[in-house]
Amino acid sequence: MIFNIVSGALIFGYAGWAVFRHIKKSKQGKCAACSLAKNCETKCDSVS
Amino acid sequence: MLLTQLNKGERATIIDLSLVNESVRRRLLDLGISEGSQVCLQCKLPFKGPCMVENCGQSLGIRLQDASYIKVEKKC
Amino acid sequence: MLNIALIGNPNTGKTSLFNNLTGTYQYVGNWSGVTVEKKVGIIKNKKGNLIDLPGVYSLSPLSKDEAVVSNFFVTETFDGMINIVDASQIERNLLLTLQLLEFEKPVIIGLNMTDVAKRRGITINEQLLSEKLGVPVVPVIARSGKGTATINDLLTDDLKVDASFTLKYGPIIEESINQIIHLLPANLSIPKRWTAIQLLEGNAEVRKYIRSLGDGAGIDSIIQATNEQIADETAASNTSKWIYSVRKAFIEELIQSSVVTEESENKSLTDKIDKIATHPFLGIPIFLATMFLMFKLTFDWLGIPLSDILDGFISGSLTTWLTNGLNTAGASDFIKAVVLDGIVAGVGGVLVFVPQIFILFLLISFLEDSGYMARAALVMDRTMEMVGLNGKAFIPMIIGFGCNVPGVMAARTIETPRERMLTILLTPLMSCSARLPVYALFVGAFFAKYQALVVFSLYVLGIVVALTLAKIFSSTILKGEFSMFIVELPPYRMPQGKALLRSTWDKGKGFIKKAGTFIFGGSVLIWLLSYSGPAGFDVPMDDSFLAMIGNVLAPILAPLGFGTWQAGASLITGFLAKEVVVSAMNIIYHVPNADSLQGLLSNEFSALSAFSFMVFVLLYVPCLATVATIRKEAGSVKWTWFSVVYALVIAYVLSLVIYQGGKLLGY
Ligand SMILES: Nc1nc2c(ncn2[C@@H]2O[C@H](COP(=O)(O)OP(=O)(O)OP(=O)(O)O)[C@@H](O)[C@H]2O)c(=O)[nH]1
Ligand SMILES: [Mg+2]
Repeated sequence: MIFNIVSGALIFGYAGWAVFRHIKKSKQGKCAACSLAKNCETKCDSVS
Repeated sequence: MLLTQLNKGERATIIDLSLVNESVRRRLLDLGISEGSQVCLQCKLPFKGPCMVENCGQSLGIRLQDASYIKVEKKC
Repeated sequence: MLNIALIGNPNTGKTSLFNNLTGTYQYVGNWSGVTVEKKVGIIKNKKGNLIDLPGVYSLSPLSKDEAVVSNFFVTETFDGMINIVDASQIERNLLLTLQLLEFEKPVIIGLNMTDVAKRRGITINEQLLSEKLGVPVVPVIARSGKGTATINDLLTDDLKVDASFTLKYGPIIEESINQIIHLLPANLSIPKRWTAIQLLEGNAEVRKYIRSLGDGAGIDSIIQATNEQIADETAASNTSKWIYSVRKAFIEELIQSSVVTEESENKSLTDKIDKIATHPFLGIPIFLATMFLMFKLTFDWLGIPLSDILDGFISGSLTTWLTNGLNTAGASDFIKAVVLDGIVAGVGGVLVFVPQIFILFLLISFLEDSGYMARAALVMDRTMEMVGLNGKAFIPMIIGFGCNVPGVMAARTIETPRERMLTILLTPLMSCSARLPVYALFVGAFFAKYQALVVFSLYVLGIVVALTLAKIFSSTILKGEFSMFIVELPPYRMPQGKALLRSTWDKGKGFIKKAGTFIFGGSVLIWLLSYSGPAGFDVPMDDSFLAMIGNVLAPILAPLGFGTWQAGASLITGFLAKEVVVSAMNIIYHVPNADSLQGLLSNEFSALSAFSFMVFVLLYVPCLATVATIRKEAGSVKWTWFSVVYALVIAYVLSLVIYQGGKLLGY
């Protein structure tokens, strides 16, 4: 029973988070695909 | 004569670029091609397609129309 | 922390050096205009940041990627520059170097491609060059990393500033420079002499910047007057030409003294390959044949066998292990269903196509690194010109085959704004790798014998539709006369195995990552929607929420040959990421592996409606990430909406024509 609750929560929690994050990242467009995105300071906004 | 009148593989010196469109000329200068540069016509693509021109070991593609405004003088 | 900028002509190996010095991987390719955006990385010696910039020939921009660099110079602060100079093309590379030296910041010259120069018989006396220019000159081979350690060592906290370098431009210009310097704001953050020279040369970005600081009328009239004076009193017809000729003369002298070239006029390999690749009549057929071969490899020869093995593993062993594991752990039916029918079906159904996608990426990377891209642009120029574009627009399109997002960004290298906009709008029609699983699934079920051919026809269809629309748009809403095309044709280079694998992995890892994150999440949600309905949980799927959503679209899609709620529902999910279409179908049809799904599909679709479905998936709306990128690159909400709407309309019309036309023909 406990296994069911824990794994259910894990799966759905992770799934919801992953979808949410994907949509958020996609909306940023080009940065999402860049491997430097994390420590890149420019956030790709040098050209408007 | 004009760059486009050269035969394939012929070399020539550019003598006048002033008729060439402003932006195209800027790009040519960027690539180090100005009056006095040595060029070689490498090939022309069919159906009035672009031509390949070599200068100092660097090849570039340029439209036939633009190339026909470039005046050259054949090396003797 | 130091901020060091990497600057140099296009395709000279800046990004290769960047990767070497920072230990990251950024996009490298053998054509001009690979990097179109500023990228910041941390130098391995932890002394500071390295900033990779697009390649430029001079600091006066013509295209959008070049404007990134000019903008960087006037608006950002940095401590020094590494100027990458292509040793085999040193003369024109130095034109930029002179402008950098005038910026009065420390400069290190990285003399790259020394291996190529050596092969061409060019010997450069770097000591002498260093003395004459007053900056360190380090010979490197960025590709292999030779010499990069020396550069690393030079990047210390006390970078030497040697502002002694000045090139005199003759009395007229010098007088004007002095006048302009007096008119510039006293607290200007960039060097005044440099600013004055750039203004005289006609650098639009610098001019814009100076105007933004205050009224530039006085400066404008000096520029004007200088222009006239130069035209009257010298052989040059305007200031920028004069400045160019002064620089050129200086460089010629420099080269006379420090560069020795031995004539070694043997025909290089490049010439031989070029004979074929840009053959007058074979050019385009060769391009098509190359593409077709790519698909043969991707599907028939390598991809399918590999993905069958993977499929066997996922639907066989893996599923058995998971079932046993879940049973032992005492999982409820609900958990078992979400894992087996949701996650394994959805994620597994997409992962199966990893081999195909990696093979395709490997081939694209090979094309990019070999030097063929610029040739393809050359060969296509005539065709592109007829539809109101230029050959360079073809490069973003080829990149778009991998992923539309970098494709749309690559349009920055196109000089004329109108052609750039057209390219941005049309690149999403290129069939990106995310659409590949959809094709793979359907061709496997319906066109087993002609897999490569059918997929190939879809890619070609994408190009044909793009060119047709280019013609229509350029003669209606995006009219304009001016079009230009000049492309640098780099020498062919045999791509190195390691670099090739690296760039393939870099492209492909996104796909695997997506499978673990978004596709996982999407599968769970789609499963949940298919498992629950107004009547509660575990409803028959036809009564689920998912069916309700799909049913809204079904009647609209019916004329196209796939008017089922299943097709409708999976297409909606595809807007977020196109791979999810396959996940959704796997979940909906309740089968954990591609083989049985393909069997089931043949009941729901006919060969004709399957083809119509694939065409629809090819063309209908760009994915969310692409739409966001279009929004940024086009800088207009109106055009962004346009790109979504026109794609939908075209997809609908074309699928309709194909399905109804095919039916009439009796398929
Ligand atoms: N033979 C040789 N090839 C090199 C060397 N350095 C780089 N290359 C190749 O040159 C090509 C261009 O390299 P990039 O690093 O993408 O050049 P870039 O200056 O960043 O180019 P842009 O971003 O387009 O301005 C690639 O194919 C590299 O493999 C070198 O030292 N020797
Ligand atoms: Mg680069």
